[in-house]
Amino acid sequence: MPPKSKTKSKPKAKSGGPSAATTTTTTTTTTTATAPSDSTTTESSHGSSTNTPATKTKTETTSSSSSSTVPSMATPLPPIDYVGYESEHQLQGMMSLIENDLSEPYSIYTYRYFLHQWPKLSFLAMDREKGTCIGVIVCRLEPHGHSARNRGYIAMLAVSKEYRKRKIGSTLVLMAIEAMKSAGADEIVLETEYTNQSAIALYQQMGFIKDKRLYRYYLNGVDAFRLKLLCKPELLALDLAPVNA
Amino acid sequence: MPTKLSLSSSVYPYEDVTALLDTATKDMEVGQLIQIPSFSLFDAMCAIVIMDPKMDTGMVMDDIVSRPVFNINMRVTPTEFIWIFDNILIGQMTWLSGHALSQTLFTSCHILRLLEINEYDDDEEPSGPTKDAPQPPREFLVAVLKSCVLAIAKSCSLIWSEMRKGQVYEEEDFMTNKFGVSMFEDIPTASLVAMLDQAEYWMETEGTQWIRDHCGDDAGEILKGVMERIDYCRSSYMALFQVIAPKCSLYPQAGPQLEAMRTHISGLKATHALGTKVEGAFDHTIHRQLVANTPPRAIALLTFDETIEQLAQMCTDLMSIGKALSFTDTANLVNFFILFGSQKPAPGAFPRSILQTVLYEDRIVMGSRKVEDVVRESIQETVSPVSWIFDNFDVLQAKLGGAGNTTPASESQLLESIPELAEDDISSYKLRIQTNVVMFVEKATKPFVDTLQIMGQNTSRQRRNLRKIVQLWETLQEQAEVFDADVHAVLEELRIQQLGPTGDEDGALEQPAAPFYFVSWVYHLKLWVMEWLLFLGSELELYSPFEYSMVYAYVDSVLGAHSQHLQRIKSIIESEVLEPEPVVPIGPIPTKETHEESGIKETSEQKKKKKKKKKTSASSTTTTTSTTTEKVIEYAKPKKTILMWLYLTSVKMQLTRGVFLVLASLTKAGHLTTTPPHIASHGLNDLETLFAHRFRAFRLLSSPEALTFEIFLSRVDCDGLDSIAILDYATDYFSEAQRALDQLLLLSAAEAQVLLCEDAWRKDIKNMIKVCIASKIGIAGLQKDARILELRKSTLEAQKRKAAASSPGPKLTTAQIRSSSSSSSKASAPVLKAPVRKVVFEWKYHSWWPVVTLAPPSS
Ligand SMILES: CC(C)(COP(=O)(O)OP(=O)(O)OC[C@H]1O[C@@H](n2cnc3c(N)ncnc32)[C@H](O)[C@@H]1OP(=O)(O)O)[C@@H](O)C(=O)NCCC(=O)NCCS
Repeated sequence: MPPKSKTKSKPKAKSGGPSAATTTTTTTTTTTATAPSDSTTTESSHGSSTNTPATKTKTETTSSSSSSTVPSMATPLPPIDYVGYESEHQLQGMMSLIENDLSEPYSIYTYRYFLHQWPKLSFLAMDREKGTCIGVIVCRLEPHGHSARNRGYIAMLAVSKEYRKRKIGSTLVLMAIEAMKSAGADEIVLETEYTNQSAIALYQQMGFIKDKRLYRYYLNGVDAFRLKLLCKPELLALDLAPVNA
Repeated sequence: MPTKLSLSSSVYPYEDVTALLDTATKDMEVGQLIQIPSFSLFDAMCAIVIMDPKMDTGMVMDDIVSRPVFNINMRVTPTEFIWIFDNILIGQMTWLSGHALSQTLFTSCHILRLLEINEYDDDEEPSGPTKDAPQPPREFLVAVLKSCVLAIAKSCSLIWSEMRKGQVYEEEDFMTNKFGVSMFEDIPTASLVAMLDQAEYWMETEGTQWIRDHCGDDAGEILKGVMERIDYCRSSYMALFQVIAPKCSLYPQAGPQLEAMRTHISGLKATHALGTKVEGAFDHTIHRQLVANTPPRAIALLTFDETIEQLAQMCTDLMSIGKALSFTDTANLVNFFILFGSQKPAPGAFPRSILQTVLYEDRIVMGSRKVEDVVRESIQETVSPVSWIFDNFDVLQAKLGGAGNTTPASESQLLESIPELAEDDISSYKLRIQTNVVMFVEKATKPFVDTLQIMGQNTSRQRRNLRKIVQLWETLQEQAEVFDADVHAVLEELRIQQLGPTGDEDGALEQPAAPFYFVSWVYHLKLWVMEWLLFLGSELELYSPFEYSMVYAYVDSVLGAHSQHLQRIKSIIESEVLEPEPVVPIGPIPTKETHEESGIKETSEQKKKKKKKKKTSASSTTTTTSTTTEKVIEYAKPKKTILMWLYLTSVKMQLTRGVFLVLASLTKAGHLTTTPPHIASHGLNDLETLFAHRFRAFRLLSSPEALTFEIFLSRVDCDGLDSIAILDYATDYFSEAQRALDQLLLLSAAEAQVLLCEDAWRKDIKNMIKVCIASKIGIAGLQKDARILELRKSTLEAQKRKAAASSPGPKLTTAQIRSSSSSSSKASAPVLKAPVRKVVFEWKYHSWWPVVTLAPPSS
């Protein structure tokens, strides 16, 4: 998630003119991808695309994956629908979900900033029976830096507490990765508090690495990790600018 | 200009546009948005949701309005003074640890409204629980509290002026926003001192009497508490004033003040508990009135104990910087910076900023030495060039334009001026070299200063900025090559002049390889920066376990190149015939030879293999092994700086290789993997891509030769050795490193060139020793692991089978061992049945090298 707005006060009335520019009407596409999920199977369920070189898998332990974390079978999972962002009507549900997990609220404009410019890069997980939003991911895709790479950015991710540890978060991240990749992402980044074990573990399972540490990135004084997923390794070889800022 | 806080009325005229907007937006559908393209994420996040109590910080809340205003003129008792003072101090230190003034120091009503404290207005009634108690004299407020609060505010203003220099990172390290509030910059220091004197005088007389009369048994302690705080204020303000004075002009005097400050800090701590709370003296909602566009975030103020701890640490850090001002030589200075920058816990932002300010101001280093002299000395200490190349340095440098106004014009002028200076041809040749040297030193100041400057940054920034520093050194190295070539050309002419054009056979033999002074110095520093950059990745916890072997293989290769380079410098210096110079001897460089004689039990077969291995997988660094026993009486001796670097770099390489070998052995046995399924699970990453990404900052460097992914893979294979054999090697490396480190501890601070940071240096060495010891214990445990034993068995069987099949005689040739083992490991990894165990990485001894073990088998 991005750092909560910093105090660097900007002159409020800066870009002066009354130039009320573009209206962005959200075109709606129902990317209803019924999840590969709701299953309580452990590991492999989230391998949606190219599968793993199976040869060595037996010998894995380093990551926590082997300490089987099968969610309690006692409570059978309600069916979950995964849908794309469609309209402002979904916004309240998304906001209250995210606000539950954050100490400080984002302004509604922050949500709109993402959702109106990149509506197709946001997804919701819905409890089909209750019709409530229980998981959400919000992203952006923009050229970045002097190499003008297409950088995808996962701005927000949250899964409602009672629904966690059931691959809902992973599924949302996968959907977002696929969407950003097909929209031309060269790399995908995000920031998360360096103490956020669950998020870091989730992303590392997707192949993200910790690319940087950001000192006191959040204003509560906590460091962040910038995690990065390289989508187009070929680019590395071409990248002649050795240092990026 | 600082504005006085006006909380009640707004001076800006405004118009209510709600109705207008309501009408205008009627035509829009839900979900439609009007947005200026330039409305950025930042704007979105700063946007105010007007009249939403959570999001509109400017909104005047009912409970704030209805609250009584704190009576700033209310008298305070001595214990109330202690409480107020201590809480202001907490605010100050919390601010210094990176939070906003509006949520820390400025929450104190006494700070914000200090000037409203009125000396003569004495008609108000005491309130609250003190009603029945005897009224304390007004002086506790108007003399004692007021002067102390002023001292803290003005101290903060001094700190603020330092932090405004932008040497540390705004928001990240520190927040300089003053919200337009005055910190009494216009009250002169003399007035403050006079006020403190007056407070002290009053305390010594009437104040003491009053406390004796009214405070019962605690009187002595309370008196001490008040006096300590006044004294603390004086010494801390004076100390800061001196520390911050331009060009370090007063820093040397700050030592005693800082010492006094530290003493008073313990006094504060001892009397803190005496404080009595004053309701309403701190207003934690003041942020709302000072800032309009950002919601206040929950911050945790430091506790008083943390405050004291950080204050004391700040004193210590400032004192150590003060001591470094009188550094004797560049080597000691550089070591001081290295150890300052790697302190744990890291120094605060303020001392880090001071460190950078003091390091370099107006081309002067540490307030006294010309930067060119420092760089020159660094070159001399490192590569010991023939001494005449620095003759005339000052003269030429002054000609070049002294205070940094080097322009191409002045360089060429300088070169033109050479003939007039020269008396004969030889000296004119020499002069040309000397001129080159001056110009090179000039070019080298930026990379050199920038590198040291990094130590004043937070570790995350250190790592990010070091990537740029590597490039600076790389560029300088290219330039250095040109300079060295020029030097060589002139040296050659000199030689011809002296010996005649036809070098006779003997002369040709004696002629040593031309030394690359400049390149050698630059390359040395570049390699060191690379190592540091890589190790910071470990320190910042950026690497995942599956990456460790790749990282440590890479660091190993850089350290190998470095110690090889240092060894080469040393040999070149030793080959130069010169008048001897007395040098403090330090122990021999740890060598492979010595470790083989060590007490480790080895079969002769193992030894044979070991020799073999050294030639192959450990190849890049074999040069560290050269012996150092030859007599060098008539030869130049390398300066101890280069010997220390060589020694330490070799030790670091041994530690690194030890860690790498443990990782390799665990990889072989299948406890660890370099290719966990998840990194490729979505077809996105593979290890080779990560390898390229992790080390991309080095990929385009001209030197050292980068470790390629293929070589890395073959290193992990370790020539097909089984895990137990690999672990034996690891033990050897740790033993060797430990022995060398033990030797280092025997050196005096002067010998080790750590006069300015001896304690930190010893601690670091001891931590490395702990890594060695813990690793060796860990390895003993690993060698009992069922899987590792199973692997040994199957490796031996495979070798036997191979041997029986292919060789007629009973004797194994090394070639056969090699071919059999590597093929067995490459082609078909044996299927092991014993359980895989979780690998544990322990970083508690040193943040650069983990101790690697296995978790107990889960049964
Ligand atoms: C992070 C979060 C979205 C994860 O959602 P989720 O649906 O529980 O995640 P998944 O079930 O897909 O978990 C996938 C993997 O993540 C890791 N993980 C998730 N929760 C974890 C936890 N509490 N502890 C350790 N690892 C955890 C595991 O490796 C897990 O794989 P496994 O089940 O095979 O062990 C959820 O915890 C959350 O909403 N947290 C609060 C908001 C937040 O931190 N967002 C991220 C900020 S960018």
